[in-house]
Amino acid sequence: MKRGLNLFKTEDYWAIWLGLLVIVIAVAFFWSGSTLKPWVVKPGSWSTLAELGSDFAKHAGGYVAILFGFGAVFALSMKVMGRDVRQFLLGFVVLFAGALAIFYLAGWSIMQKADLGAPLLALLVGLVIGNIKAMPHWIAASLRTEYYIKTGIVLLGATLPLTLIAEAGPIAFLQATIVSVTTWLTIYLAATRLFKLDPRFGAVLGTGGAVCGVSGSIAIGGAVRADKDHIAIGIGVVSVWAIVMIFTLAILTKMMIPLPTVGIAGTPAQVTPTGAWELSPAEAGAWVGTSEYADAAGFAVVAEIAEEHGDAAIYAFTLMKVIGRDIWIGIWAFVLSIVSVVYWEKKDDVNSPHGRVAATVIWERFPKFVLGFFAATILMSIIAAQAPEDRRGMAPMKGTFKSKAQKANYDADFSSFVVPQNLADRFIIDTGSGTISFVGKMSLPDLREILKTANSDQAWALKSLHHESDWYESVLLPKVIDPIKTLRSWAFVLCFLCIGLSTRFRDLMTFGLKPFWAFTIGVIVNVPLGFILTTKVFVDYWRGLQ
Amino acid sequence: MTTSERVCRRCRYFVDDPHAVEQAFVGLTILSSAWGDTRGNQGLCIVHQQFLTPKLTCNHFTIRR
Repeated sequence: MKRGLNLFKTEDYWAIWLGLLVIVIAVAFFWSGSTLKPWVVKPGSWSTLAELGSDFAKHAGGYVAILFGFGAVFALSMKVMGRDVRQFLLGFVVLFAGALAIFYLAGWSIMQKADLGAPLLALLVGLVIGNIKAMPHWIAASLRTEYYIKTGIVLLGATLPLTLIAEAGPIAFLQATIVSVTTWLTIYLAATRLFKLDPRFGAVLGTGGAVCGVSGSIAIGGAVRADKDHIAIGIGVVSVWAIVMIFTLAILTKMMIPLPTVGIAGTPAQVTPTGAWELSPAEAGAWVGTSEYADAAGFAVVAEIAEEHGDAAIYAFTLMKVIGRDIWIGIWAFVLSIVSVVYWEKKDDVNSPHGRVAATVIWERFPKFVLGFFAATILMSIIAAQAPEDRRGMAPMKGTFKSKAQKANYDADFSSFVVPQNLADRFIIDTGSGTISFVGKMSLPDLREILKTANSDQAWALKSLHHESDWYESVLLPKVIDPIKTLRSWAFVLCFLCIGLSTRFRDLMTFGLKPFWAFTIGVIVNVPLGFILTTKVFVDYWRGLQ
Repeated sequence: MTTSERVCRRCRYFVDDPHAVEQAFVGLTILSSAWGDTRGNQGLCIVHQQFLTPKLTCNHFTIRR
C-alpha cells in the first residue's frame, strides 16, 4: 500500500481528519463572528411529555445537521476504506436515532434522580437489546466502536489544555508504566507458570490486560505469531472483563466522589476528599485509566463521572490511558517479537513462518489517532493564546449570575463602592450605562481583593464580571469549545451504544478457565495497585488536576 | 521470485482483508477494529492458523493471484 493512501485507509487517520475538520469548522465560524452552537445540540432535561416535545422541536434542526455532518464524513471514509456505504448509512441512521433516544432517556427527571447518565444508559440499553437479538448485518455495519471513540478522543484534544499534558503527562506515564509492567508480568507468569499455557498466549493475555485491551492483544498476537485460537480467547476474556469493569468502576467511583462545594467565583470548587476511600474526580479518572483495558470501556466510566463532576476525570483518564499506556504498544510489540523469536519459538520447526519483526513495527502499531489528539490540543492552545491583552470585560449591575454551580438574580448599587487601590486603574464603574468593567483578565486573587468590601448583590455582579473578563471562559469556551464538547458527547454515546449492541456474551464466553483465571489474577493485582498509586503515591498530582 | 518477495503479504494463505479478519475473530469489533493501526497489515495464516506480520515467510508460500 502506498504511503499516501495509508492516510485514508485506516479508521485512525479518518478519526484525525474528521476531528480536525470539526475543529477547523468551529474556529472558522468563530472567526467569521458566528458560532456552531445553534447547530450543535443535544437534548436537555425534561419531566413531562410536553417538555420533551418542546425540546425536540427546538433542537430538531440541529439533530439533522449532526446526523448529516457525521453521516457524510463517516460514509465517505467507509467508501474510501472499501466498505459497503449503503449498509453503513442505513445502520448509522438507526444508531443515531438510538443515541438520540438515549440522550432523551438520560434527560428524563426520573433517570436524573436515579443518577444514570447517557454513557451508562447507552451501554445498558445496548447490552439488553444486543443480547436478546443479534443485530442484522446492515446495523452491524455501523457498529464501529473504536472509530467513534477515536473520533471523540481527537475532539477531546481540543478541550484539553496543552499545559496539562506537559505538567501531568510525565507522572501519568510513570504511573501507567509501573501498572502496565506489573500487570503484564502478573498475567504472563500466572498463565505460563501457574496454568502452563503457551508463553505467546500469556503475552497476548498480558498485553490485553496491561496495555490497550483487545487492540493490544491483536497487536502483540501478530508480533509473537500467536495461534488464532489464543487471540480469539484473549478477545473474549478481555472484552468480558472490560464490560464487567465498566459497571464496577462506575458504581465504585460514583460512591467514592464526594459532592463538590462552590468556589469563590461561583464555579464548582475542587472536590476535596477527606476519607481514605474518597476520591476527587481526577483521581477517579486516573484510577480508571490504570484499571480499564480498552479506551472505549474506560471512557464509558469517566464520561459517566463527567456528567456530574465535569471533565477532570476524562482528562486524567486520557493522560493515563491514551498517553501513559496506548501509545507504547509499538514498543511492546517490538520487544515481545524479539523475545518470541529468541525464547518462545521452536527452533527445529522449519515449516513455521520465520523472519524477524523489524523496528518499524514501533511506528506501524502506533495508534495514529493520538497524533490527531495532540494536533487538536496544540491548535486550540494556540487559538486560546490569542486573547486580546487590552480586552475589557463588562457586566451589568443588574442581572442574573449563572454558573454550573450557582444561579442568582442581583441588583447591585456601586455608587459608593470602594475599589481597592491596586486595581483602581483597571476596574471601571459606569453608573450611566449601569455596567462595571475590568481591563484584562481578573484573576482569582483580584476577585478576592474586590469582594472584601462588597455586599451580596455587588458580589454577584463582581462574579459575573470575573467571568466576563476571561476571554477564554466567556468567549472561546461557549462559542468554540462547547460545540466541540457536544459533538464529542455524540461520538462517545454512539460508541457506548455500539459496545452494548455488539456484545453477545453467549458468543464471547467460549474460553476455558485457565486463561480466565490468569487474567483475573492480573485484575486482582492491577486494580488495587492503580488505586494505591493514584490515591497515595501520586495523590498530589491528581488532586491538583481540575 | 526472490526470497524477499516470498512473504506472507503476497501469499494466498494470508488473510489480511480487514472484513475477513473481523469475521475470523468473533467479538473483535466490540472494543477494537481490524480497520485500525494496531491491527495494521497483520493477518491470519490459514495454513498455520497463526496471526502474523506480513513480512514473514515459510515453506508453504504460494503466490496470491
